[in-house]
Amino acid sequence: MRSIRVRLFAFLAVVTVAVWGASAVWIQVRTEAEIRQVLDRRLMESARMVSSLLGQGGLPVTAAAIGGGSDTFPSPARGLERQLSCQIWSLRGQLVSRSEGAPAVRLAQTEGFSERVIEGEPWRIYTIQNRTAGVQVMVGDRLAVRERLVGSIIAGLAVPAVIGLGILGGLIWWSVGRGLAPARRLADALVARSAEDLRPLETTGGVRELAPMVAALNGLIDRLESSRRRQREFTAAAAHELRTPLAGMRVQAQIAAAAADPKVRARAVEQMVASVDRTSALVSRLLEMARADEVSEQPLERRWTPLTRIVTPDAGSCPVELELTSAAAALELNVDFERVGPLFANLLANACAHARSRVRVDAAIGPEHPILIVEDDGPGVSEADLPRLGQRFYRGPNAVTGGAGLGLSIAEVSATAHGWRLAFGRSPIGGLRVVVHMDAGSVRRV
Amino acid sequence: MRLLVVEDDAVLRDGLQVGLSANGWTVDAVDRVEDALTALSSTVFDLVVLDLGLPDGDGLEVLRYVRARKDEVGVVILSARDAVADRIEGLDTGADDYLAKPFDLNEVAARLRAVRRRMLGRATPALRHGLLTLDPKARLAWFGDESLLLSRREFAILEALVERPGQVISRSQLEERLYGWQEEIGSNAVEVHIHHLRAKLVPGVIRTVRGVGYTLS
Repeated sequence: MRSIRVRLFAFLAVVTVAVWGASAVWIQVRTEAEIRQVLDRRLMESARMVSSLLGQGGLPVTAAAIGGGSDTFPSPARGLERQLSCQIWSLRGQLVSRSEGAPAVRLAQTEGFSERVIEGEPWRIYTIQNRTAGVQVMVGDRLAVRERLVGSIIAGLAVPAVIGLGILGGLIWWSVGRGLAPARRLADALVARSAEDLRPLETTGGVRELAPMVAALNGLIDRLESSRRRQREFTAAAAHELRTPLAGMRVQAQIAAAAADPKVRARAVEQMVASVDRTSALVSRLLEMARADEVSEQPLERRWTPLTRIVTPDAGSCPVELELTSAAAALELNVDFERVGPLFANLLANACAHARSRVRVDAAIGPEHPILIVEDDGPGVSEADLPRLGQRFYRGPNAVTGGAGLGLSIAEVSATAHGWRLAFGRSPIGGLRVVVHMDAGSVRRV
Repeated sequence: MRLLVVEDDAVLRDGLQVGLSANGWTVDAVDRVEDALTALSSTVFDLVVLDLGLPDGDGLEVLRYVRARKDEVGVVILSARDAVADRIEGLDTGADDYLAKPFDLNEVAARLRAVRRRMLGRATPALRHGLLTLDPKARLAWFGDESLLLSRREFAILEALVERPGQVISRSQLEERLYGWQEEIGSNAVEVHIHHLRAKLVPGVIRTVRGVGYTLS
């Protein structure tokens, strides 16, 4: 696992060093140029000064040749000592005078600026001609001295820069740590959470950059919470639904145990058997519902399937006439065959159980979304009770006995998985009409 | 005693009807709120055994109906809703007792007897009037020390008279108490039972109030 802190730090360090390095190079180049200019001007000024002293004739040329006076001047800083050397030559080519420490060989041959290697060292010299005094004045300095100057300026800048870089590195490391603290706090909060705690994570005082992650986590928590709540409600409802048949069986068992009359006992046992059968049917439905719930979040494996393959109730289970209109028979649905089964099986079983004489399956592909209709001519459901259809364990007043009140709920889970919706209404042929609202991408004509 | 069982589960309804009849009570059963209201408006019941989750509504509607009419009827709720809040709501709506499913048949019978006792303002299980003693649970009766051999209906008549001593109880009231909807009633059935009862008791214990009914002396 890579650390964001280390990555960020490395990145910032590289960038900082690069920026600092570039500015150091720039400073060096600029400093060199400036120093060269300043020192060149100094050479020029010095040469003019000496020349003007000679030019006015106030100073005998020979006096300068003695070259004294250096002792009277205070000694300058080491390294910069005797930076300048001066020579005065007659126009005839004789050395008239030279400053202390100046080389004995002629410094330059040309007027103006020139560079020469003298006694193994490169020099820079400025030469000026004084026709009045009949001399050439040459002032020069060693390039090595110039480089030392530049070097010491750069060194003076580099030392604090290196120390600064160290401090900056520490600060960057610390800041990155501080900056990432909200992420660490979020992780700590998640680690500290118990599996039961499904409250949303706090976003107050949160960081904008973490908000999408917190939102995504909260979305996940929300889905977990609702799935767990569904499970809890379902378990509670299932336990509740089982209580009544259990009470019935218990009472009948007590009657059978206490009855002296064999007829009473036989009847009680008969009732118990009937109740056991009904209860086991209820348990099967509960399991079916639980399975439907369980897979409801899993992705579908859709395939184009003719409706005639999906709507095939076995003849025995539907005692009335089942009519599949030609509009419906001509359709193909893009469905997960395994998971669309419960939808139509339950709708048809429901319709068949309540119908008087017929059940109709119709379809309509209008300008809006396509719909499938399953309706019967049974007693139907009153307007007031329609909204309660599809509620788990709800059995309408006209419901056939023995139903668990789960059929339409199972159908609804299956429809929702396909992105469809069920609507309940009253059918023109008399009974209940269930409309399956589908999306256009799920249906096509063969 | 006349009981109404309101329960939508067929097996449990049948069990309650058969099981409670064994206590000597006359038990009728319905499976919907609507039928329960019809039954209660046409017949006088002493006790109602009420389920709450009914196909056409809530059992509490039935309870509210009888309490609104100020009927003198005991109501015991038998429900799968066993949360404390549900029990409190049931009792506060006017139920005399509340049992969660599943339950024991004998306990239901005992609670029904207890509710009946409280309604009549008695603390002791035995009914007494003069030398007459009745044990409603065992359905035994004594006159002084002498035990009486009574049929189910004779006992029911005597119980009705002893429950409200001094009150005159009409023949139709006794008929209603004795016979369920499905039972055929002979035109002079009550007179016949009274006649047999008088023969087993000291003469003069049961008085006939002419044109009104019967009472205990």
